[in-house]
Amino acid sequence: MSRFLPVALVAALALAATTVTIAAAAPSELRVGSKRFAESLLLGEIATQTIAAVPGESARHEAALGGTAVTMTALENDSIDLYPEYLGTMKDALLHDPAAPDDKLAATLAAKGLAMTASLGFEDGYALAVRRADASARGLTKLSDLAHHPELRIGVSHEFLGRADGWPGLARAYGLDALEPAAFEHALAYRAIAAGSLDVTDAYTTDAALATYDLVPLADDRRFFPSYAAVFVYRVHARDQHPRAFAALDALAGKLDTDTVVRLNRAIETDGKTAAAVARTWLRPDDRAADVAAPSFLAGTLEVIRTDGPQHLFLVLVSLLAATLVGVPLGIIARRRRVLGALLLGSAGLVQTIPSLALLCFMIPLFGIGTGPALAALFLYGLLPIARNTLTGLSSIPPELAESAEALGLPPRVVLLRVTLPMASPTILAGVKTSAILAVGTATLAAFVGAGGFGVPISTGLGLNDTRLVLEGALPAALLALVAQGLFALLERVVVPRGLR
Amino acid sequence: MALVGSSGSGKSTLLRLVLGLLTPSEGTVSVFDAPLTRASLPEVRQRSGYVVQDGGLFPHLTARGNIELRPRHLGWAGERMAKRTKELATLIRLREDELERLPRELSGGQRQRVGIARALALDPPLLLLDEPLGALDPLVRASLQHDLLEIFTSLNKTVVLVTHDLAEALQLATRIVLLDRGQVVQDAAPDELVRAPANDFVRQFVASVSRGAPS
Repeated sequence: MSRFLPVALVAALALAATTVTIAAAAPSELRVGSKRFAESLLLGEIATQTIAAVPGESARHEAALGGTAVTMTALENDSIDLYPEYLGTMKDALLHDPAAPDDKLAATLAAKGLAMTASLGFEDGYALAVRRADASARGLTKLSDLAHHPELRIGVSHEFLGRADGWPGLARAYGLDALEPAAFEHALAYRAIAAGSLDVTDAYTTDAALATYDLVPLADDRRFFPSYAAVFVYRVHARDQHPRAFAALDALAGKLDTDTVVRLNRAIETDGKTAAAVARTWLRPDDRAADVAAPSFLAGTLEVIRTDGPQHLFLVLVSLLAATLVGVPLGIIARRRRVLGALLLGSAGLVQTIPSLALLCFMIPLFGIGTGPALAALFLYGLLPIARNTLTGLSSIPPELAESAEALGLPPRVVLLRVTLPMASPTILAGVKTSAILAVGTATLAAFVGAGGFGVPISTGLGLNDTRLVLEGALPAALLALVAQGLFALLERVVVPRGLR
Repeated sequence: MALVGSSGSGKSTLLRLVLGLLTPSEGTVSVFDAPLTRASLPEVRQRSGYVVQDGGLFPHLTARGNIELRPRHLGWAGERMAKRTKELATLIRLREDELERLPRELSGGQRQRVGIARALALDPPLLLLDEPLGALDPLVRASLQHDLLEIFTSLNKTVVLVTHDLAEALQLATRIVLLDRGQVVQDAAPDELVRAPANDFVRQFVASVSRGAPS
């Protein structure tokens, strides 16, 4: 290992230095967050470009974060300064009552050092939608009609199924307990209903997919769904430091009506334009340069490699280096102290069973959003294969050689460095390789917590139901895994002594 | 001195006890006229050479790397180390270029001899060999047996040889200790062992040699 470590260390430090320099270059930049669906991305872009147009102000878009839990925590932890949100969503998340009065929400936000702007002019509420053909055939116009049709197959998003203002409350208000909803990824539910394997799904009232799949929303005749007016929620401290930027955001109030938002969402979801381009066209309608279609697949993929590649590489290299520096000693300890070793490897194995997305979310309260939690989660995942292979490599040294080594009378440290570790090196390296390839894949999830990498187009693409965008991130990640595989074959020639190959 | 016995008689265990590779469940081990303790262990090991079947060479080091492992750690100067390695190579009849080979590129007999050279590198007063000829085919075995005798007589050291082969012991040792199930059955010079076996067990052991190895 001794010859491999310096090289990796230098590479990692160089990358770390670059990243730190970039981060430190713009101390007063405002950080705009958004969630991973077209409308949130659009509003995030509108805010970012509006702030950037104010002289002396700049903004960065932390796009396509994992969900309300991630964005809210990020805002409270000072990892972002503002993001677009809906009243009902905030009331549900903070007060556990989506219909709570506005002043109660404002007071709760204020206690956290947060505030919100006036409504941007539209609501993006929940609705349940059915195919237009079904609506006329069965006479479905309003939500209370559903109670008479227990044969309907219903599929809703995981979020809708879980929230108080989602399915549980709705079923109670309309007596829909006979319908048993299946949980779907939102974008997939539209496909399922279009393909005829579902009859009812939840939808957003400004959703471009309603028109695309020819669905009609059912009227909320018992006024169950609370208000989902769109606002920007922000850190009060950021407003104090950037009064002119926030004055420009205030000026957006009431400017976006439902029809406009549906049209802009459509441009992104159906016409395949980027949120940035659509936002630019809306903010400056005269600027024709903005009205260009998304780049070709190849150009898009190369752009992804250029912009997201370095960060992906950084996440993989640094977490892998840390996992190696901790994992190898862990394996050595496990070899010497059986009980402690079993305990250590057991807990590393336990970490491995936590779903990666959940582990990433657990890290947010500890490290905020961005690179920190992603590195911590990737490090924990990489630990087990390395520690386990170190233990295996040391344990599989033939006993007569282990005894010969011990009988030399050299200090244990020397025996370890000169004899046993080199003999275990092929197995240890195989463990590092497993962790590396695992990290390349898992790092695509880092985008959900705003850590960047090839997961950015994947996360955005999933949110927009844009397969091409998903591929623009997935392809470079797969290529990187192949490259890693090749590099380790070369590394084996350097690290593993000739006598063991 | 040779420790002789059939497998399971405890002869290898005795060697391991001397080097502290095993700790006795009761009683004490005495080496170099002093009880073996945790503190004295490194010193005892440095003053001993231990050779297992097939040499026990580390596969990632060349013959030279194996031989020089201990002197290098003790900080020997390059010149002194090269001189010592050359002496040992002559002793075990290994050519200069063969010193640079990996264990897997050497013959079984060569590996065994390199193992002995590694054990002798620090010129220890005590040499412990565990079945040094066990893994070799009969022809190589005969020639190496001859080499060993030469090496042992030229060194003037205490050599403890563990073997299951009484014929080998009779040829190489000046004193033979016969073990059976952990007990010393007889401790005598070779001719005395043949002439006056202590009991039936020794008698049978000696008889099996004259039958199995008519030479």
